[in-house]
Amino acid sequence: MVGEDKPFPTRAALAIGSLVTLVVLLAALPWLLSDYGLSFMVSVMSYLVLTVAWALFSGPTRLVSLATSAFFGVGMYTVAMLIKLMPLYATFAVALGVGALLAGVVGVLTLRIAGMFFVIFGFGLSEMIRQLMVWWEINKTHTMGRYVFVPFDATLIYEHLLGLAVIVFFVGWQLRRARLGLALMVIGEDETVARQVGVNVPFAKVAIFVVSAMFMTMTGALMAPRYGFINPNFAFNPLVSFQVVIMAFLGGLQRLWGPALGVIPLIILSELLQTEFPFWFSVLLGIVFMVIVYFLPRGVTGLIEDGWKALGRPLELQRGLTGPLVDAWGWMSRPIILPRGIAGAIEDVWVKIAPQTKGRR
Amino acid sequence: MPVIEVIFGGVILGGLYALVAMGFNLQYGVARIVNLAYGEFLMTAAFAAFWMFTLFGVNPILGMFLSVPAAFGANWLIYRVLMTPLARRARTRDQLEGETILATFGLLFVLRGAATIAFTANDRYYDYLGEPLRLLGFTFAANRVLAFATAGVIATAVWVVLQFTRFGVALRALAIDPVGAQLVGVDVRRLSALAFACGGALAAAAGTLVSTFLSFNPAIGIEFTMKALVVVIMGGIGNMLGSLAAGLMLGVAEALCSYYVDSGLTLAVAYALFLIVLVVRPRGLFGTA
Amino acid sequence: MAALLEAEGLSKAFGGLVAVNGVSLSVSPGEVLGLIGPNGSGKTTLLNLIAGTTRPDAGAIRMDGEDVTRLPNHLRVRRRINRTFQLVRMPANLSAIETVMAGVLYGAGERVPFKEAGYVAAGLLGELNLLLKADRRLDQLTYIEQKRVELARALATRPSVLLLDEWLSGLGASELDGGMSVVWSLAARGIAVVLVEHVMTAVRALCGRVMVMNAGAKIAEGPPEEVLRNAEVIRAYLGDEDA
Ligand SMILES: Nc1ncnc2c1ncn2[C@@H]1O[C@H](COP(=O)(O)OP(=O)(O)O)[C@@H](O)[C@H]1O
Ligand SMILES: [Mg+2]
Repeated sequence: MVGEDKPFPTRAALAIGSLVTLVVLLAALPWLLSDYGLSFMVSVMSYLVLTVAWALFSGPTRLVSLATSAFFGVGMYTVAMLIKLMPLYATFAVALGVGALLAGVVGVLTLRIAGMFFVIFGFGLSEMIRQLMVWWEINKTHTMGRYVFVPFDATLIYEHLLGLAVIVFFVGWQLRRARLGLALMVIGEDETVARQVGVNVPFAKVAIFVVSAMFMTMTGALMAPRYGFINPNFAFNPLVSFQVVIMAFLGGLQRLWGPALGVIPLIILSELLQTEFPFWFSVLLGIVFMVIVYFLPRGVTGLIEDGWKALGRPLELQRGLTGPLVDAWGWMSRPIILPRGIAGAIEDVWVKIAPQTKGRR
Repeated sequence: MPVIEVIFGGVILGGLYALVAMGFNLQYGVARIVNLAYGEFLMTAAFAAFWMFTLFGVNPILGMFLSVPAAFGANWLIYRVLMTPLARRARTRDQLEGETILATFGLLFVLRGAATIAFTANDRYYDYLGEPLRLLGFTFAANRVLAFATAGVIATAVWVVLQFTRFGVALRALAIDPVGAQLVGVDVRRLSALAFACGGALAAAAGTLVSTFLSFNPAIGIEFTMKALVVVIMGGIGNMLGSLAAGLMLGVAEALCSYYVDSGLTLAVAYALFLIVLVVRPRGLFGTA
Repeated sequence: MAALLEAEGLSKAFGGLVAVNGVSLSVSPGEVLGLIGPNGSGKTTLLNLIAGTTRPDAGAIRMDGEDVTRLPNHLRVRRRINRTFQLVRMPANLSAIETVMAGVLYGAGERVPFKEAGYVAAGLLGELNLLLKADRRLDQLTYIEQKRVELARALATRPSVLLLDEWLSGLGASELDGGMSVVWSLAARGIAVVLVEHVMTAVRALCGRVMVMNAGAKIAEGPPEEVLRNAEVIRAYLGDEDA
């Protein structure tokens, strides 16, 4: 966390200001970048949303969800199936509903019992839906894929994804200073304690699972117009689930922005390898992931934080342009709390009751 | 085709699933490792059988005498090198499950990617005992009957070992109560490694049998892992006879589904059974060992 | 005074072992009910049944006239039953105040806005002399402080029945005085306390009534002096040296 040496509002203003600037800059990218650059940024943005959404659920609850590609695929394929029947935004809305419903059903069925069941269920979910969709398309609709031709180009996709990213960050940030977020942290640590403070554990888990799945579904839906032709094998690709888990672990889950750090290196890797050597990519991903699991349980964020510690207090370094950004990060990812932090609350109450407490001692 | 023949076909398939699940159950029920890469070992063995058969004309059943010990050794090494550090640092059983899920999830992509690089993503098939065999008035492909018989022999052998040898008793004790087992002098680490290796060996046997009558490619692993998981959960974790019964049930259910609906929906059948178990009896149809 | 919490014929078996066998119990507001008995006699299991951590095989629990036997743990918390654990349970990576805040936010009664929960939690920690430790995590607190944080977490949910499982054990002589006065103040503000305890000085000083369990069954009940003189109780204790 960042030190509390200056009055808070200025820091907050600076943080918000730099974040707004960052978003504006990102929003301007399509006009600054080549086509290739834009398509790269679309990948980055989509995985950013997926990864942060994944961490919303899996971070605090510590239940590894392997179902990302199922929701992503449901979003994408719903749009593909409905695009001839209704306007694009209507298909997005339907996709969102379907994703939420699926997440609700899966959550209610599997999250009430041991975590293992949830993980296993998610592991095969995407594959099963893919099978069902293939069967449906071949036997009932006699198609083996869908064309999605709509005037929704890469720039529009990118801007929508950026909007979604802002929302998912905002939700994550709010969650860290909300009742549900705190409950999820307690659940992740010890469910018995969570029940003993009055938390409805299954409900809390299902609720955040649905929220997280809705972001994933929406990402899939937004990505549908990116590809002219979509079939179930393409939409339900298990590699998506895997990449998201790796990105999140690579980035680290302690901080809200942690998972985001894992996205860019992996997208670069994927750009370099995936088209020409897709299977080497899979091998490399697997190895990277195992290295993380074995040697870097706190992800890159952990490394960075350790680095900061080793370097002394980060704020004593030349702050430069990145200073406010660092503050913003620190501010956004402060572990749960009130606007002025725990320290503020403690100070206030301390001032009020200190004399009595001393007296009793 | 009469329904009875469909059911027999399902039983034959189910025998194989039972074998697959027993191996998984040894790894999960005894060694406490949730091995998401389990199906990849099965797939590797299928390729081994394929190459031995097409290149050197080695009979797949005889080839098992090579591939099964190899798989045993490889899995023993994997446990020693990759799983032991996790077992050592996990404080609770849930933690161990979580960590092994992650590690083997990575392993899955390594193995699958490597297999695709080595063997390409194409479907493979070889013709071994494809001729029809009349049995009890029904017609079956000879290779399926052989696969079923072999699976039956192996499963029985495993069961006998578990039931009647010191080693088997120790394994069962470990499955039921690791702490208690340790107290009565069972070497948990060593035995877990052996159980894990045995599980891998069964996967290799099953993979060989699969290769004799189904076409396969490097991507089939996930489906078999998933089915093994479902069968183990249905039959009860650590319960070998439960795995046997649940494996047969899955085979029959699948056969009925392919006959009446579509053969492309096998995973959906497994899921449907999984759901029923989750809703009705989360501790497995036959309880935990 | 009318009983606030009433349990009737509670039973629980683990496999063949009957841990609690047809035990009934009642407590009124402001009363401290002592629950004693040798180790393994089923005291913790009885608390688990009342708190909803474990489901009873038989018996009924009424809170304030309402049947809560079938309510899950978290709903009993909202019906104002809370407990501490014999072995402290506290989320290892959350600070003391965050744990207590969770209780404030999800506890019984009116919803506390998130922004105020921190103040309420800090107040509770202050009452237990823990204010300066508010941002410490489990491993940065002493055993005694951990026990106090756990009590604060329980109090945060605004309970009217509080089940304390050996909350005073492990305290030194001077700390025991402080601990006893905390329990006493809980009763003084009208909370019905069930006190599982091996420290007999505390039981004598605090409890108006004592219940003795042995091998899952209730073997005696009454005022502390009387019960502790009872021959059967003495035998139960002498049979188990580590009690
Ligand atoms: N979850 C459980 N599973 C099996 N046996 C249990 C469990 N909880 C408690 N027991 C057994 O129930 C008996 C009563 O234990 P407990 O209620 O903890 O006693 P006390 O708190 O009086 O020391 C003991 O024999 C204990 O071993
Ligand atoms: Mg006890």
